[in-house]
Amino acid sequence: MIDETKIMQYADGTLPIEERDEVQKAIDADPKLKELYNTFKETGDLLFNLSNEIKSQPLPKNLQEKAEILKTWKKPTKEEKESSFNFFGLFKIQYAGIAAAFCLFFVGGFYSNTFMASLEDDTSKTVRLSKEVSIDTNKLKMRSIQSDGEDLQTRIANLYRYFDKETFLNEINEKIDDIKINQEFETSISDNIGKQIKFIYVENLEIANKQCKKLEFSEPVKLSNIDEGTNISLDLCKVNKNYELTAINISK
Amino acid sequence: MKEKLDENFIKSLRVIAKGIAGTKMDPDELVNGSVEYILSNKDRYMDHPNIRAIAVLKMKGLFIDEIRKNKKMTSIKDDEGNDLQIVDEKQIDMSDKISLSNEANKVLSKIKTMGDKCQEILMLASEGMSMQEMQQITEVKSLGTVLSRLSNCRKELKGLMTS
Repeated sequence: MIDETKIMQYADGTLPIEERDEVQKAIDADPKLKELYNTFKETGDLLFNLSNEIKSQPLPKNLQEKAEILKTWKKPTKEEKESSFNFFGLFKIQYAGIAAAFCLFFVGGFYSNTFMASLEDDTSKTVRLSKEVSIDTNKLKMRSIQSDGEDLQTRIANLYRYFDKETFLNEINEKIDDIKINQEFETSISDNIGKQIKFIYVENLEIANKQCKKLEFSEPVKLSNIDEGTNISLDLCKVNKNYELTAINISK
Repeated sequence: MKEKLDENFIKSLRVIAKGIAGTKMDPDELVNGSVEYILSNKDRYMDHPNIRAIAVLKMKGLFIDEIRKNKKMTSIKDDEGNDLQIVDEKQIDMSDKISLSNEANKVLSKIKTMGDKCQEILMLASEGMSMQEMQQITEVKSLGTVLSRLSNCRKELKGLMTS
């Protein structure tokens, strides 16, 4: 019998990859577990939206003043001193600021050209983003799990800077209806040594009465110089005739 | 997790404060008190690796202090010597200063009807806290307890939303 907390972690995208197959099979085989899974998906979305709405409200004056004081505390941390270097040829702090805005729904966009990543070495399964690319992040929402000792905002910022959403969506829309669940597939998105990034079509979803599909990066992605590998999945929902990217989920 | 100390840090505390304060007091008062505490202990917390957890624990402490204080101030005895609680309607109104969409309002109002432990863990989860952070803040012994509490509270929330 699968522990229901595993179902919850699976719904949240935080279950370790090696346990996912077993949980998915159990959900497929048992309508009660499927219902439980839907409960966790739905409450996850409710809580996420609630949090974002509260955070979208302006701060009262007394708290705004305190935020200004806190900002003056800012000094370069050890990580930033070492990595403002040029992890992606950028100043990290600048994009950490942008990332903070991404904790809410996206209304703006950033533009670049390619998504690049590479395997760290022959034995590692970690994909390392390595070359500047572009993104357009209209109407995306971010669901994330934080971990100790890491700057989450930096990871989010780097993900968005290096993800070419338009290219990805154009290619996906051409082939997605022919791909089966659990099938691994490639797009033209490739790493800096020419190796194509693989995705896995994980499951079908229904979000806000829309037909949606969840895709996962087949390998963890290194999103900052201290990131040992982040699991990323994408929710795509059908809007009119095409699938649009509606959420990016990241977890350790 | 090294937090950026800025407006978003305070907004995150505001979300969590809703889970701590419930309907009993103004969540922003907890946030204000907690941030004041951190500001007055700059040297101690400036480089703390998990300042958000410190801030949340401080909010919990402030909440308990406030409840104790109010209990002393507002309770009177009945004929048999038992405490009679006087509900401060003004404070309940203060907790709803933020204007939310109908759906978010519904979710929040349902959460407020739940037990204190559920209110707390659901708002921590809504802020994307890791299980380890939630364990630290809720002060439960094991991660398994955190997981099962969150799981049960989410099922309860689902039931309330559909009822």
